[in-house]
Amino acid sequence: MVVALVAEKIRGFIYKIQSFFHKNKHPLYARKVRFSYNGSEVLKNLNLSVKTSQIVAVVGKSGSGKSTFLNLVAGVLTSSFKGKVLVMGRQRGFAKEDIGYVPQEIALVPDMTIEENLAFFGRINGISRKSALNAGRKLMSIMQLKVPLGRYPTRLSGGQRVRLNIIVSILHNPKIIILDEPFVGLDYKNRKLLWHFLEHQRNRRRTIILTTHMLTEAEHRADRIVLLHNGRIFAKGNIGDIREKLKTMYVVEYKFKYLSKGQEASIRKYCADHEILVLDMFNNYMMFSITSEGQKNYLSKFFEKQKLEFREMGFREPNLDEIFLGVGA
Amino acid sequence: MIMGNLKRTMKRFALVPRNIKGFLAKDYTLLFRKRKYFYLSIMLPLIIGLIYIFTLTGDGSGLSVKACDYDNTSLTAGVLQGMEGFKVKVDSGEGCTERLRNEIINGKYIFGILVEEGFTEKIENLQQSEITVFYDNSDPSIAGLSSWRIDAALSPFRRELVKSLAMELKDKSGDAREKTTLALEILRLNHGTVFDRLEQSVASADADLRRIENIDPEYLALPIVSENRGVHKDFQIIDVGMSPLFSVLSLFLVLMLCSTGVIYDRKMRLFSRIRSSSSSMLSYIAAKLVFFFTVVIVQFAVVLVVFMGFGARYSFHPVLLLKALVFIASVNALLGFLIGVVSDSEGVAVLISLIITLPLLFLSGLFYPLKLMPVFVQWAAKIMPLQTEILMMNKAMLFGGSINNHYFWIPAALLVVCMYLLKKV
Repeated sequence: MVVALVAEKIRGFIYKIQSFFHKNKHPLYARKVRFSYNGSEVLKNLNLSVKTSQIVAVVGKSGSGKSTFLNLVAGVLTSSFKGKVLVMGRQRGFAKEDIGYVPQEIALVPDMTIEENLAFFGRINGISRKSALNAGRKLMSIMQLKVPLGRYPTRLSGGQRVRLNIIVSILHNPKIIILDEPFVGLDYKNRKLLWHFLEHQRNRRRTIILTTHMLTEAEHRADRIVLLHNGRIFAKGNIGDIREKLKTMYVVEYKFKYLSKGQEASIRKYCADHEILVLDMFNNYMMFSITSEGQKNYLSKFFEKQKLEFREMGFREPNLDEIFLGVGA
Repeated sequence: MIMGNLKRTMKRFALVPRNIKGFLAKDYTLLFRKRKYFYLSIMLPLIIGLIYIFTLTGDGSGLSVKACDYDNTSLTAGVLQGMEGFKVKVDSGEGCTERLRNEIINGKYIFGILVEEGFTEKIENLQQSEITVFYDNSDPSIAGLSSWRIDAALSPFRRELVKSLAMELKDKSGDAREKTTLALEILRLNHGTVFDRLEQSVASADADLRRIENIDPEYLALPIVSENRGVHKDFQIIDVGMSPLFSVLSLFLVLMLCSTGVIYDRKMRLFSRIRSSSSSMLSYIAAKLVFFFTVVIVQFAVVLVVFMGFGARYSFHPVLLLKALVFIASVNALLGFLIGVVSDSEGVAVLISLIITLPLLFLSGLFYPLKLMPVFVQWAAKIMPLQTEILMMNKAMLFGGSINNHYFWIPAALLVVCMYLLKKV
């Protein structure tokens, strides 16, 4: 027991020394990351490497560990964890100048003007007031935030505040930008603007890692999607990779005229026997995840055999939202 | 429609007891679940009540005082040994007054009594007598207390004196009455040689009545007066008031300001920002300490101007003053910081500040001398920072001397606790 503990400490020390000298080519390199909080394991053996100039969307249900993972990478979580997290090839403690962390909540000083906020957040990130104001003005112009610098954040609209929240986080021109749920509460126009901004940063060889529940947008805009479930990476890659991994090639929806408890049970049994996932169900509506068109035909025949009156609502490739429904189902 | 609304209103009235029961159940549940309710309604009254009982009753063993009895008669011995609530050590030797004064300055006694020669003679001649009470006038809580404690202790003896005087008056006037009656009888009989007897009787009555005539009215009102004299000759009461007031004010204000400031920063997620930035929590705390050092200096300047405006005079010791202000600012700010870290909201932070400062106030020696409290309370007060702060300010502004560096373990320990708790937030 003691030997194992000492061995682990020595391993951790060696990791630290290695990472101090070792230049890893990945902006983010996480290996065998485990993190427990209050006795429950939030992150379980998580491995992830992110390349330069990528937008990576970390998605997952609430409590899947995505915010915890981002907070761990950004250094917001100071509790000890197991495994290895390298940012720009260094231990995260030595790479803070390279990280721009945007918290989920608006983290601005409400009683200070925009100008004072820019200067303050610039200074805590190690840059002078002058540099912070210059960078802030540039970023405000890119983000189309046309408000006087003397205005207080409390007098900005929700979308403007989110944009300012991001601006103050990246005044020091970090190489890796971490955003925790940046799209929450934003309308479509502001979301689109934010995606454009992130793409602009990607084109400047910045790496962006974000968590989001806007799966459809992430599917189209992000270079890579990492699907977390119960603290593990369930799937990663582009949407095709994830569909394949989860065997959700198509979704089919049915509306039944009437569905008794017994009929529902027999459908569920059929699905379980034939590796079909019931993605969603409400009253007489059901959505299934299937791997081929043939599987859909078998399903329809089964309904007819059960003397169920039904109407097919749709048959298509699933989007990320629909894939997401099948995770853990 | 109207009837329907009326019916509904009546029905609502009928539900009022159930509503009240619901609210009550919620409040009683929260009383034990939410710590602030528990502390404020149960723990704080208990703590304050216990401390206040100590201020009323002391430690129950009697207060040690020294008396310089220059009269040294059986009457003065009786007076001094009969003082309620005091254990009096009597000294009649030469130079007793100076020794007594030094012992009070050195903290051996908080009071001393001086009985001048001629005390007994004055009492016997029905003249008002005086005793002098020496006290530590660098401690404002003792000034008021000394006179009422001594007065209270002397009151049985005073009562005895007035009672014996009244008895004497009764006897003498009875005697005089007998003699005047006899004179009247003789005069009425008007025969025999009775003039010699009559002259004697009237002369005796005259002497008795003259004694009554010569009674000092002050003696009847107050046979013994006590005069209070501070042992520090250079201080006025206003001079010594600033140190405790400033320390208490600073504790209150810095605790509230710092704790609510930390909550404000937590609410705007500044801690997350700091952790993900190249700055550190240590620099955040350092900035807070510097900020509250300037706040404390401003507070000190304001209080000083007010006191000096009213005639207080100080002999400043700059190095000691700087040390004291650094100590006060760092301890109070770090305590406030701790409160801010463990509180959920600004309201809770203010409540916790009150919960901490109220017992500290009672244990500061500001209102009641700590030396009169039980030993374990005195020890508890010693490890509380407020008493140390007052002591430091007194040294820096009145007495001089030195401030021991070992006091600075308090802010150092607080800093370590703060850093540990910050990891958990």
